[in-house]
Amino acid sequence: MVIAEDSALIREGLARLIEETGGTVVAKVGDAPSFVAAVLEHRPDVSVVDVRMPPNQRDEGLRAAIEARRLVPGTPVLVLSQYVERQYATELLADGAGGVGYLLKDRVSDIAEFMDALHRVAGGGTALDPDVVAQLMVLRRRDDRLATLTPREREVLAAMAEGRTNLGVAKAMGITEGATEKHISSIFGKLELPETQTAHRRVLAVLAYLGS
Amino acid sequence: MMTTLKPSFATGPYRPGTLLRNFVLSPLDPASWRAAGAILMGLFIGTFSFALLAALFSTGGSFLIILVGFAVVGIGVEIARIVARVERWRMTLVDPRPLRAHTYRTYGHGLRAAAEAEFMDENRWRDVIYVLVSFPLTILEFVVCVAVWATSFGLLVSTLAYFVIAGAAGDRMPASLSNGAPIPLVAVAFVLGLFLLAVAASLSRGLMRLHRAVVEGLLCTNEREELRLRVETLRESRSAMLQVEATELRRIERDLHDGAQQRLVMLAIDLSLASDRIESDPAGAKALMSDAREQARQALAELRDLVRGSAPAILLDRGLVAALGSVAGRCPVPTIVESALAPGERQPHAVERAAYFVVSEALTNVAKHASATRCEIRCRREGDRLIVEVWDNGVGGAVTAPGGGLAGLRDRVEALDGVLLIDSPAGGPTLLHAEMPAAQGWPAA
Repeated sequence: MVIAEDSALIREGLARLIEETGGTVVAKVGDAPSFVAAVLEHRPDVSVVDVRMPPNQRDEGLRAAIEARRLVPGTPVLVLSQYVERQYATELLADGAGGVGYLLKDRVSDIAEFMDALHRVAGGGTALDPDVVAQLMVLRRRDDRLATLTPREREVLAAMAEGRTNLGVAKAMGITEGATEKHISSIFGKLELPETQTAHRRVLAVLAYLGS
Repeated sequence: MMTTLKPSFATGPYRPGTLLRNFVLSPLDPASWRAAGAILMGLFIGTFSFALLAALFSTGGSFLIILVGFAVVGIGVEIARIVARVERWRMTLVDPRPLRAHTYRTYGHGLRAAAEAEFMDENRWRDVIYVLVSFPLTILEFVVCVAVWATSFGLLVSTLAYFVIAGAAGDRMPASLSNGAPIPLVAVAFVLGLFLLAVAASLSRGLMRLHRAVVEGLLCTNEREELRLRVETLRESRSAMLQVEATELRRIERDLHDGAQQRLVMLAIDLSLASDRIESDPAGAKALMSDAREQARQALAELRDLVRGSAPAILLDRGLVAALGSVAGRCPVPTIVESALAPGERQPHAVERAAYFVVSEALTNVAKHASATRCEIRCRREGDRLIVEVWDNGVGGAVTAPGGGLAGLRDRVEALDGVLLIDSPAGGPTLLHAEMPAAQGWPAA
């Protein structure tokens, strides 16, 4: 995998984390252009990018991630940031291909959660920060159909929007997979969303619903 | 045109020859005749405006006690302002160098501010004083001018008539017509008439020059005065800006001290306790470590909120509208953003920051106090002003208490030479309106 992060402290910390859990870091870079170059050169299974990087310390990392995915379609990228913004998530997901993650940097401290998100992204899935999902849910609050969901179903919807699989949702909420499936089909019924096969398509459907 | 006018106000070196030539030729200079016309016009303006003001001020003055009088006096002051404008124009008839009007206080918002602008404005009262001073001056100017012009015309017309009649009658001129005056005496009278014509022309211009000095002194601005005013405004806005920055720094310092710093101290304590216990009580150590992680997580969240409050990343990256969308998305009251700004339009960073700060604070207030169910953020540009409004359908009754949050917002907006208005009747709705100077068509960053 490729790591792009301008803070040496966090760059080394991430590398150590990944190597301790059995991954291999093929390139560690500190700015946006070398990130794009590293992705082109190594075609990694997954990359981790910081949003804020030299030269401008603005949203170079995000732009570089989008650029890398344009040059190498579908290359999985997990974007980390000190702040998450709904708009940035929308831009990242815009190409419709899977393998996208967007998390707060703090989430790295929960190693199990972080590795789960990383694997999901590497496998073509989605990992959206709960904070982004919360922003989306706030936007949709006035929707009557959303109001028909039970509190439990809302939690399940949020977990789905984060990109979790049925099993992931079940684990995160401490319920059985069967119960999760029941909740999900009830949600899709109430929101009148089409049932889809892959987890990523499901995320897109949920996000499209929340974001519209 | 300019060249013929030049002698009337040229301030070049005065050579006696030029001076004499100018004097002799002055009746031929159109500026002299315009000066005479302007003096005539001045008599009417001076008398009429004085009479009008005297009537309005005496009527208004006797009704001051029932407030109507203030309106009447106010009308008088405004008429003086119109007179001032007419008089500045009249001066340029003779000397085309433009006169720049002094500046008047703007009315601002609210009755009180309007009254202050009307009655406490030095320059408005200068206009009134001018009307008072100019009344006797215009009469004096007119009388002197008329006397000289009329004498000169009288002499010229009568002597010319004498010559014409004398020429026509030849030797048969009746003695009664000449009044027995010998020809040389009539010639002297003719020359005197010509001399007085030049005197009248030069005098008219001289009087207008004096009058112009009065107008310049009372009704016009000069560079020094303008600079003084500009420095004053700059000093005020600079001190407001410094105040705003200082308040902001204090807030950040306090938030850091009460929040993240305390959490980091707790984190350090938890970690050192855990390392003491790790062998004797592994389960306890583990619990402490998970506490420590929670403290770290909270500290990060607090730092993030702190930065988001004043200078969020998205504001710098994507500009005002995107940042407002983000802050609206976090507000617990359903909030929509209506922007009439061009996509990607950017403003100077200080303006974007102030606008963002106003909205973010306003939304915090809405969430805390308004019990609103709907909230709208509107932004648009009107000419060179950026307008940001926050509307909510809550209970209203928001007031600007000194030292309160809304007063802080006002300081911040005013530091940028902007205006902040709050309309919040009891029972709602509340509208907060902020206007700031904006740069037109800043390119997208």
